Amino acid sequence: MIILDNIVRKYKTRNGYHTVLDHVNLTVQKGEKLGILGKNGSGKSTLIRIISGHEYPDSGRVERRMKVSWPLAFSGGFQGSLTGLDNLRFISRIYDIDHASIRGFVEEFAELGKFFREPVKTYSSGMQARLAFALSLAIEFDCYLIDEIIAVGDARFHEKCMHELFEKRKDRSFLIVSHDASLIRAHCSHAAVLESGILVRYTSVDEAYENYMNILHCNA
Amino acid sequence: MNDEKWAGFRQSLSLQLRVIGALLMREIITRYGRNNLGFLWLLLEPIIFTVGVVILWSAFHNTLGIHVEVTPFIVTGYSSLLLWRTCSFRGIKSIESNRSLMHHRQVKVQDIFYARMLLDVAGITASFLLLMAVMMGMGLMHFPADPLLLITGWILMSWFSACLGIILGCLSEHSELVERLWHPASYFMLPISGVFFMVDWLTPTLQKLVMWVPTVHPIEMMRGGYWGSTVPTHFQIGYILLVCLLMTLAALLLMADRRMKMLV
Repeated sequence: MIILDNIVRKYKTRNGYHTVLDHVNLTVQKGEKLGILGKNGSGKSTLIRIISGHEYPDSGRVERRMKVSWPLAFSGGFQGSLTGLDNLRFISRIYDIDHASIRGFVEEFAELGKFFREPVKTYSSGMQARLAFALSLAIEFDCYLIDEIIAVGDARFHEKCMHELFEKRKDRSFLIVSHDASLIRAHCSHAAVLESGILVRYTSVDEAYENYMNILHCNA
Repeated sequence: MNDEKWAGFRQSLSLQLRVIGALLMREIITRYGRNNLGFLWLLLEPIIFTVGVVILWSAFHNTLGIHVEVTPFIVTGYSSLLLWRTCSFRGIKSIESNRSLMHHRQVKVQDIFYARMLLDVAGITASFLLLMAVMMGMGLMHFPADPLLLITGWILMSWFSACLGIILGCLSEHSELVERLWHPASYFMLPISGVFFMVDWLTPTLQKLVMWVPTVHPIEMMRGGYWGSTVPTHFQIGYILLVCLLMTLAALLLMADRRMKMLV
């Protein structure tokens, strides 16, 4: 279970503070697939970074009672001057697993060939995304945080990722934030909408979708 | 309850040590790489520099007014200089060059600084020891008269440098000005840091002034440790200890500032 208790996050701007998250409360149960819909700039990524522990709230409490992934945003989490293999070793060390046990999987899944032993900064964005995805699948989490699934690699690779994540790991929790409602409708059993820093949970995905559409059209 | 707390503490400690270990490996790989001489440069560079300076200074010995043997004077001075210069400049870039790794919640600001400072201090200490050994082998230096005093001076110098690196590293995250100002400031510090003079050579008025400079004390201690009582030295352990303790407190408070992580 993940519990967010009255999370407030403000950013300093030239004209005072801008409240990104305004007393957000949220509980994610084990095995739950929760989607959070929000427009660009509604605070989705901030929320997911706070849940992952990458960023701290100004006030409020985050409680993680299960193993939560880092945000699968398909690029962050790497040191550019290290090779793919070095990054794998680094991540293995901090998550306390034997790197030899996941190396085969990552090397095969990421399809980097000889580039696996080249610095990450020489990778194309597609290659970086493949490595990031392979690494986050190599370490088993109870809850995966997903920030906007964008197409990784070609259609076949994308298909492979979706299968690994949503088929093989369907017993896990997922928290997906996106502005793309179809993604959330496809993969989530519950949904909420984040608008101007306020999070509202709905009883069904359809209800959340309707409200989200209303918000989109009001502002259009 | 105490058992539970103890278990929690041990768990956190082992996690932190693991993260620092991983960061150390990451720094070693990127810095000393797999190409060229890698790690060897860390040891070779100060040796090349010191040998060159010793040759130059020996040639101008009489005109420069150095009243002691040149080699140990340069070795103790340059190694100390290397400590605070390296730590301060490495500190400033710490967060920036590790920012992407902070995506993992295990990696804290503190771990990044500890790993960096540990690596720099360890590397320079190794090069200092090697330099001493080489110079002793060449007959340009003898075994220190008071090794304990020399080591204490070195430890205090390392402690001061690591704190300086962390403080500047944290402050530079808040304002770019810190880095810009530190460049000239570190040059101004060169002549007064105690690297190029011994306190005893100065006039009493100047002596009083330079005794306020923290680095003067450990460098004098190291030189006192090398020559023993044959060369007069001036230092107060209490003063440099107090400075180091206050700087440690400042470093810990700056790293604990939650905004440090938010700047990511």
